[in-house]
Amino acid sequence: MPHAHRLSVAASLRALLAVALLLFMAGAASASTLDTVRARGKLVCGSTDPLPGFAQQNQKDGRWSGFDVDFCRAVAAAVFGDPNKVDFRPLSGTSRFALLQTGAVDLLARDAAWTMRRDSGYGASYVGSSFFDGQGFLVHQSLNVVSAYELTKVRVCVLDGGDEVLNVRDFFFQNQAPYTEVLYEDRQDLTIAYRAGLCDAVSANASWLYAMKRDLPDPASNVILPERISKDSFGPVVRDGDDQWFNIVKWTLFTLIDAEEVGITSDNIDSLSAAKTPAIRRILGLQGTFGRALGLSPDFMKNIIRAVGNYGEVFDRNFGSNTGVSMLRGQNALWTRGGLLFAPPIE
Amino acid sequence: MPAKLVAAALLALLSLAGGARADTLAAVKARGAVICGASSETTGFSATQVGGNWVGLGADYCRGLAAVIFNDPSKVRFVPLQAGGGTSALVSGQVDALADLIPWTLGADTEHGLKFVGTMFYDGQGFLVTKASGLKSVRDLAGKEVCVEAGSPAQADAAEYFDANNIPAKVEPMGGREAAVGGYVAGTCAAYSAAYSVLAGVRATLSVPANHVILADLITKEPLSLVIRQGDDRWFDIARWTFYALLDAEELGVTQGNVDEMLGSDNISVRRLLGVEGDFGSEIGLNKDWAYQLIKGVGNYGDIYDRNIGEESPLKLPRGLNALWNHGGIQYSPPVR
Repeated sequence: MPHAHRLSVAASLRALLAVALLLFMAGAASASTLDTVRARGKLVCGSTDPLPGFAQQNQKDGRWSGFDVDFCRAVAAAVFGDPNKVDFRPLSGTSRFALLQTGAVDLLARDAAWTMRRDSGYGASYVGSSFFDGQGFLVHQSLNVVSAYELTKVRVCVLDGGDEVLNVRDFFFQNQAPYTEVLYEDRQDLTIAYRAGLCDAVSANASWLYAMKRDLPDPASNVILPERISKDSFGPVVRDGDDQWFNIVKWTLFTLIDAEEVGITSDNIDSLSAAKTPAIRRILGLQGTFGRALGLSPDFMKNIIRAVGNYGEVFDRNFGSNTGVSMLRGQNALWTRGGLLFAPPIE
Repeated sequence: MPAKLVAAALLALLSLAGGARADTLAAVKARGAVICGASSETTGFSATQVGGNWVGLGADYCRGLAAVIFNDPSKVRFVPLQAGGGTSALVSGQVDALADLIPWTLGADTEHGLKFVGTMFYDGQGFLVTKASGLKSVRDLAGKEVCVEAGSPAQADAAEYFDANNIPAKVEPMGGREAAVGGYVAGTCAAYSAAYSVLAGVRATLSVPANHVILADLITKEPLSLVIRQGDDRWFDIARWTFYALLDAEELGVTQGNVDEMLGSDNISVRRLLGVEGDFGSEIGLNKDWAYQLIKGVGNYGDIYDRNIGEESPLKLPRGLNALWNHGGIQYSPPVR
């Protein structure tokens, strides 16, 4: 019965393959990401759908920079004491979770907006919010409005078929203001239409509007109104199954925020070693042994801040006035200054 | 032949992989109840027993876990623990979650095998003063005495704060909370300093609570948070999204009182939350109406706050930092979407 024999060999092979896969999965689940990263000698850090400000590549030398890239560098500094030990990978919105799960990337510095589906459905978890976004309006200065509540009888360019157009409808309905929708299926068309004068306002997530504004011929004569008509936040994402790595990435974010709150910057950090304030001494690793439980050195927080600065410095470097977009801190200000950024204390 | 061996190896491996991953949800379902540890520390916040009934922010959260799993908020058992015994009870598997709220810090988050879920109450160290004193801010305490519990973090933090801000106030350590409060009541000290949550409880026990005010300034941050143990990502998802759904419901105006009516809402966000549109429960092992059961069972975050520490409680704490992000506070949750 040669035929049957072949079948059973095929079945055995399949079973063996399954065993190998299981072994691999068990290995992947138990191998610590930190050990893997250390053995590799560098961090592999992804970011979803690169957006100017968050991640852009220098055309001349090929180097990446941006808010997301700085976060990757901060994690590399926490692990290696060296922010340059990182490979940055721009990822598309459709393939990022698989790359994270298989270990091809160690973390996503930023993913699409944090939702329940993305947090629970793909074997990955958000460590927290690093950037509060939300849908807003971009208008030309000549429209002479300072608030979205002044928008009336305007033509609004917005993406069709998703939550964005629903949010616009809801906003103008609640506000009892007449307006005209100009719908497009592709985001790039919003820019083209706005530049051609086919609409008076563009409504989309503020992060995208700032990126769009940056590329307009005269950015300064366009305004992003302060109101947000939806809530969205971005944050770093790690794969499930490794609580130590989850904590390393989470406390890298919290260190950036706490450092801003107590006033440690990349400029003053080396002059603070005589500081008496315990909150400062703990961040600098002069008091306590906090790195140990994370598998990191006691000065990991100092290394983070020395490499990229505190949260405020990272924000200014990538979105501040020197970038041409002058993004307001808004919800991304510290909780002590009217924003939503809060980190548990380092103690 | 090998097929049998292979099958046996497969089974062994499968059971190994399964054993490596603790499944709290399966254990809870098999048992028929969520078990929450409670050390009865701070009235209104951590779970305390009032007339045989466990009450507090943490207790209601545990009832919420029971509601999302069993459609029944009463399927929860509270296990009394020694003060500070929550960590070992959680890590050993004796309890599934804590009804106690734990201050979230780097040390607590990383050194004991705990996993922090979210901040139920943003607390911090404050000052209780008499209304008659006219004291309005921490700066006004210059030249005054401040009673604290000797050896408490409040003692060190107050001294550190006064020193760092050049406020010449004198910290008076007293032996225990009663003595510290007594010193304040007797007028030895112009202020009593402790966590805001503690001050609220102390004020409620004074003879005329309305004669005492808590200064608006807090000199430390202490996020009182929900915790589970590490090592079970699905349980973390359930714990995290149960908390977030409480906040989302408040933001969307879905309350314990109107949740049935809200099933007919046109608002897409409300429909998603309540499971009318889409199914966000199955991926974490719950039914698609999990959040409806949650709000029906315990109410939204604001309902829970008011009942335990807010307007409807003796503490009457204003929301302050614990207001929603779009109402002047910092309570924020990602959406059920």
